[in-house]
This record gives sequence, structure tokens and C-alpha cells, in this order.
Amino acid sequence: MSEEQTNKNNPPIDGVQYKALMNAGLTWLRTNQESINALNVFPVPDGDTGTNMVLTLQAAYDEISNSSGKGVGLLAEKLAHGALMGARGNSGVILSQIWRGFSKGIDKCEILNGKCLVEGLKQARDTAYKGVVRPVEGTILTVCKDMAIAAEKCLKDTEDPYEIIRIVTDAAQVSVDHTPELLDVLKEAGVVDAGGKGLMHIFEGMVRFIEGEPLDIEPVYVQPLSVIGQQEALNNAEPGQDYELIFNLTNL
Amino acid sequence: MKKENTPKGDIQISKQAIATIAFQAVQRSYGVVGLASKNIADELAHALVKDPTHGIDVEYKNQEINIDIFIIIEYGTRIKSVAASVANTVRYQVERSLGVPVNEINIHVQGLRISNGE
Repeated sequence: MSEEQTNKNNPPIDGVQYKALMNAGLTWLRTNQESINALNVFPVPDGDTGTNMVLTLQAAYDEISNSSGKGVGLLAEKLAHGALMGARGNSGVILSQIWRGFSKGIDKCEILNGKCLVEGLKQARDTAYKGVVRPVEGTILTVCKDMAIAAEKCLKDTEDPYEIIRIVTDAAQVSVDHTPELLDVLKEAGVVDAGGKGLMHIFEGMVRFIEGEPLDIEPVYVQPLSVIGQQEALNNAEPGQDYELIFNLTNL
Repeated sequence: MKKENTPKGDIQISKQAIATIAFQAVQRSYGVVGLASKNIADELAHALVKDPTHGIDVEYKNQEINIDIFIIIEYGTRIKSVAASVANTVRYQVERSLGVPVNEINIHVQGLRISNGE
């Protein structure tokens, strides 16, 4: 997509647009909340990652939803404050650190242009990594890092913030899919990291908002049976036992 | 020493062993940037001998395990949530490794670390 085309369709990201994007991220995260909960195996498999992230982001968004502030820098700071106060659970704390770093990176910006956005993402990564003695890779931290790397890389090709949001969302998706390779617990359970996927959904929500796609309907994908270890299921079938055909309707 | 009787003999798990499991779990907990000493005597002892379970206290009382953890948290995170996550993670890891329930986990936030640029 050429830059002029994008600019025609998408207004510059001022305070109002920033709020709309954040709201879209929150809405899409909430839509996918249950599927994120189901992935939660690390550090404690208590199935609350999605809920914690939604509550944290909700608290953050509440802080800016009625704010009359125009500059995105100011709004980002308020958002970070809300996330801090509302941080719930492990993933919520990390998410609040990500927004704190993001706000540090864009605090001088009135309009969220490409450069500001990239700086925000870089700071988000740096701040997130500071909060732990031994960062565990294959988690939301890795996804955040990969998004920042993608953002830095693409800045020489485009300065359109909408395009950058698309690029980092794609990078997040790739990173999420890669998490089981980095963290054995995930591989054993046959899942991707819940927190990382949550972060990806937030940005995916923004992309869907930009594309004008619905945010409150959970998409349903049909996976090939091979994905859910069909072979293993067959081995477990005892002689004389009938086959059971299972359709796995999962969100990807 | 935590004792467990089995038909073939006893299994004894030292406090040190439990503390090591807890220590590893704490270090990977988000928001925790360090473990701290309980008091000055502990601080001095740590200066002389590097203890691999520094900042963790394990107690047995009537066959129940109580763990005290002394931590330093990153400034700018929600302390309540970080402390709750630490307790949750340590309980899960210790119970998973030992197969014995932990009675109590107490988190003592001994300080905050302020990173550069604040």
C-alpha cells in the first residue's frame, strides 16, 4: 500500500485516534480472553492470563477514555498509570511495564508518527526486560522484543504508523508461534505462550480496527486433524474400539 | 529436615533443598530484581559465604512447611501483584517438586530498585 493511499484513509494518530486504537486492542483482547486462558501453562497453569490481561488493560483504558487530553504522549502516560494501578497477575504486571516503557518513549509526541511509535516500542522492550533477574525466553517478553526489532528494521522503509502497526503485529504472530521452541513447558503442553498471544491480540485488534473488521466476533478456524496429534489418538484406541472423529475448532 | 516414611525407608528433604527450589522460582518471577537479607547478621554472613538460597527461609512446624521470602522489587511495578505472583509461583514449583503441600508463604518486600532514567 502506498503511503498517500494510507494517509487518505487513515487520519494521523492524535489523541482521539489513539484512544480508538487502544479501545480496539482492548475489545479484541476481551473477545479472545477465553482462548488465552486456555493456553496458560507458565509460570503457573492457573488459566487466568487472559482475564488478568483484560482487567489490566481495562483499568489502563478507563484512565484515558474520558480524558480530554489531546497529545498522545500525555495519554500514554495516563494509560501507563492506569495499567500500573490495575495490574493483575504476572502477565498484567509485565503488560503494565510495557505500557510504562512505551509512554517513556513517546512522551514528547503530540501525534503518534512512525518514529515515535518505534521509539515507544523500543522503550517498551527495554523497560519490560529490566523488571526481572533472569528473563525467561518464549514468553511475552520475547514477543515484545521481536516486535521492537521488527519496528526498528522497518523504519527505513516506511514511516507510516499504520503500516508499522501491521508489520509489528505480523512479527508478533511469528514470535508467538515460535515460543514453544524456546520454552519446553509450552512444547510439552503443545501450546504457545498465553501472555505473548495476548499482546499480539492487542495489536491485532488495532489492525482489525484499521481494516474495518469486526472486533467482537471470535473467528473460528478449522484445523487439520494432524495438528492435534491424530496419530497419538489412534495409538491409544484399544482393539475393537470405534474411532471417534474429533473436529478441533480452535482459534489460531 | 522434612521426613516422610515409606515402606522401604525414609525420605528426608532438607530445608536447604526446598529453599533452592524456591530461590530458582523467585529469580524467574517477573518484578523481582533481587533477594534481600533478613537482618544485619544475615547480611554479614552472606558477605562471607555466598549462600545459594540467600533471602529464603524455610521452617517446619508440626510437619508443615512455611517459607519466608525477602525480595527487592522493581520500582514502578504494582507491588501487591508482584508479591502475589511470587507466592503463587513458589508454591506451585515447590509443591510440584516435593509433592507435599506448602502451608504458608510469606513475602517480605525489603526494598525497591529504581532503574536508570526515572
